[in-house]
Amino acid sequence: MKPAPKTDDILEMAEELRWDLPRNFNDHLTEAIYAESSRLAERSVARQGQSRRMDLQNRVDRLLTSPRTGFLIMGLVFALVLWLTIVGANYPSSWLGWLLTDQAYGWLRELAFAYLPAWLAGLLIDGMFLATGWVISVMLPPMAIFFPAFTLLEDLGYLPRVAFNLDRVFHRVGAHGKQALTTAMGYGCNAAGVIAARVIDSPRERLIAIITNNFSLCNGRWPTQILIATVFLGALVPAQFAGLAATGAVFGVALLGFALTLLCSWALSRTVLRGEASTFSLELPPYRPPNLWRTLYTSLIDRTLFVLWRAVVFALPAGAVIWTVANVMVGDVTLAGWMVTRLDPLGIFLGLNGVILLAYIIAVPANEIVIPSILMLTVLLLGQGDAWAESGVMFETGTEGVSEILQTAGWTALTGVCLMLFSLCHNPCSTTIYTIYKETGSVKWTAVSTLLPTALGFIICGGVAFVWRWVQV
Amino acid sequence: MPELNPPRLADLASAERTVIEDLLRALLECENRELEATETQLVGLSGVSRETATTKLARATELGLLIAEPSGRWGFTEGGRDEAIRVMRAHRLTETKLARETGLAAERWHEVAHTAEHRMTQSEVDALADRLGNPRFDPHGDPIPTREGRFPAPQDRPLLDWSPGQPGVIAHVEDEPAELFARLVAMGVTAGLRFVSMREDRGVGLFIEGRSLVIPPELLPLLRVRSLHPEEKGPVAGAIRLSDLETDEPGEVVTLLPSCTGSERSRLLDLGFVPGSRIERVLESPLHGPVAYRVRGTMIALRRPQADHVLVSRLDSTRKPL
Repeated sequence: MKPAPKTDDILEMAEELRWDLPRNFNDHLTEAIYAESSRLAERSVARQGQSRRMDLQNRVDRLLTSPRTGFLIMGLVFALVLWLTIVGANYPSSWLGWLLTDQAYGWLRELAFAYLPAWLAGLLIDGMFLATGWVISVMLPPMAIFFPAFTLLEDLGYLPRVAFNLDRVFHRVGAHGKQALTTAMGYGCNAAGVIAARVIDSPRERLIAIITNNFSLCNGRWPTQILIATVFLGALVPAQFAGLAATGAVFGVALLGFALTLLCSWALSRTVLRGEASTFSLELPPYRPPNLWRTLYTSLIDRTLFVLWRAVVFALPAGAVIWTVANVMVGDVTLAGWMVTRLDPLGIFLGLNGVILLAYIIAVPANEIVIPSILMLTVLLLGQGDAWAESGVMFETGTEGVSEILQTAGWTALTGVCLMLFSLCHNPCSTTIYTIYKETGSVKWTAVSTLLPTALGFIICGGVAFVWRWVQV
Repeated sequence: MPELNPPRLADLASAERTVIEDLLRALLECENRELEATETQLVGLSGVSRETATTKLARATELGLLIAEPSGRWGFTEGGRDEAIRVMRAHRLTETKLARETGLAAERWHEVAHTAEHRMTQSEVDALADRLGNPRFDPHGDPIPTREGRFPAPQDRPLLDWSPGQPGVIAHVEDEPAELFARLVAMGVTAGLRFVSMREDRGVGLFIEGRSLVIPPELLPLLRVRSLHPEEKGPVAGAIRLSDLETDEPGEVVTLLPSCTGSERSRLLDLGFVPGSRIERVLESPLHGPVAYRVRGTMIALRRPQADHVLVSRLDSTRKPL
C-alpha cells in the first residue's frame, strides 16, 4: 500500500505550485459565469427585433451628448427644473406660511400666554415654533418639487448622460465625473448633495465632491439671491430691465458657484487630496418611461422628508436663540444690539454689516432664516417696527417693504452684492455640516468643508468691497 | 563578545534602524539574485554611504543579524534573514495596497512604501497580507515573500539581452530613478504585459499587447523580461486596445490586461468585459471625454486610460453576437 502523503509534503507542493499559477487565474470564475449564463440565454430567450427602438435611442443619445446640442439642452433642462421649483413652490409656500405662521401661530400664542409664564411662552412660541414653522413653509414645497423632478430625470436615464458630458471637465480638475450629479443635487439641498456623493467609489474624489458641494446654491439660498438681486441690482437699471438684471445677477452668482466648485476641486486635488484621477465606469441605461408614482413616493420619503426632518431638528434651537438674543438685555441694550455693535467693523470691512454677520451666526441651522433674521434685527435696531417686531418675532414683508427697511438702515448696492456673494460662499448650514460629519466620519474634513467656503467668502467680499470703494473715491 | 542582553533591532533609534534594515534588504536582494554580497555591492544596492555602511554593518553583526565571512562577503544569521524578509514583505505589500486601493501616482509608491517598511511590525505585515488576500506579486512584478519567508528566485533577464522577434513577458519594471519610472508608466509599460521586441534606431521597439512603442535607451535598464510559461498564450495577432477600436467596427473582448488591478478589475469583469463578449464603440462625449461602448447589450462609458486595459480583436460584422 502506498503511504499517505504527509501534511508537510502537501503544503510544500502547494507552496511550489503557487508561483506557477497564471496571473489573475481567479478571473476565470467570472468568465465561466458569463459563458454559462450566455449559453443558457442563447437556448431559452427569444429576442424580438428591437432595431427601431434602438435606432431611436441612439438618435436621442447623439442629440443629448453632441458638443453642439448637449450642453444647450443640459442648460435648458436645468433652468426649467429651477424655474419650476422657484415659481411652483411659491403657492404652497404661502399657503403653508398662512397656516403655520398666521393661523396656528396666533392660536398657539394665545393659548401659551394664557397658561405659561411670559418668557417661556415667548421662547416656545415666538422663538421655536415660529422658526420651525418658517423653515417648514419655506423648505418643504421647493424640496417636494425639486427632488421628484430630479429623481424623474434620473429614472428617465438623463442624469447619467449629464455625467457623461461633463466628465472631461471634472477629470481635468482631478475630480470624478459623477460629481456633476452631486453638484446638481446640491442645487436642491446641500445635505442631499453630500449624501448623493456615495455614488463615487474613490474616497479621495468623494471627499472633493463633499467639500465643494456647498458652492451649489441650495433651495434656502435661492430666495435670498432673488430678493436681494431684485431690491438692489434691479434698481440700478431702468425699470423695464430690472427683471433681466436681477435674473442675470442670480445666474451670474450660480455660475460663479460652479466655477468655484471646479477651482476648489482643482486646488484640493493638487494639495491636501493629491492623487491620480481614479477610474470611471458609468452605465448609460436605456431611456425608459419612469414609474411616476413610485418615483414620487420614494423621493418624498427618502430625500424630502429625510432632509426636512434634519432641518426641523436644527430650527427648533435656532428659534430659541433668535428669541433670546432679541430679548435678553445687556445693560440697557438687547444682546442682539450689543453683538451687532461688536460685529459692525468686520461686517463693514467685508462690504456687509454687523446685522448680516449676526444673522448668519443665528441662521447656521438653515439658510432660509437668514433674510427673516436680518429684517427682524434691522427693524429691532432701527426702533421703527411695531410691537411684533420689537418682541423679536420674525416676519415677512413684500419686496417694497424690504427695500424701504434696508435703505433706511444704510444699505447700498455694495451691501447687496456682497450679501449675494457671501450667501454663495459661507459655511454650510448645520444640517449639512452634521451630514458631512456622518458621511466622512472625520472632524478634520468636516472642519475643512466648513471653513474653506467661509474663508473664500471673506476674501471675495473683502476684495469686492475694497475695489468698489477704491473705484468710487 | 556576547552581551548578556543584546539590544533588538526594534529597540534602536529609528534613523539607525532604517539604515540597518536597508542594508539587510540589500543583502536579501544579493542572495536572491545570486550576486556577491560584498560591502561595495551592498552600498550600491542600499543607497547608504560607504562610511555609514561600514559602521552599521558592524553594528548589525553585534546585534546578531549578520555574519562577516572570511572571504569578505556578508551573510545572514537566521534572525537577520527574518528581519530582511519582513522589510521586503512590508515594502511590496504596501506598494500592492497603494496600487489597488489609492489614487496615488505610481512614481510615488516607492517613496511611501519605503517609509512604511521601517514602521510595520511583523503582525501588521501579516494583517496587511491577509487583508489583500495574500497577493503573489507586487505591481512591479516582483514576488512577495510568503509568511514562511519563501519566494522564488527571479527568472528574468535584462531587456537588452533579449533576442528580437521573440515573444516574452515584461517581468519587472524598476521604480528607481522615479522620473524615469514615471515615463514608463506614462507609456503604459507595466509588469505582466506580453511583448515582441524589434531593434530600432533609437532604442528598442516593443510591440506590447496591440500597441507599438519605442523605448529610448535611457529607459531600457529599468526593464527585465522573461519568456512565456508553457501554459501562457503568446501575444494575440491582430488584437488592438479597446480605445483604438473605431465606431461601427464591432469587436470581441480578448482579455483584460494585467495592468488593470484591484477593484477596477472586478468592476470591469462584473460589467461583462470578459473574453468573448461582443463590444462596439457607440457614443463619444463632447470635449473628448469618456467613450461609451456597448457590451453584452448595455452601454458603458469608460475613460481612455481604462479602455486601454481591454484587449479586443476586430470582428467580422456578419458574425452572430454573443
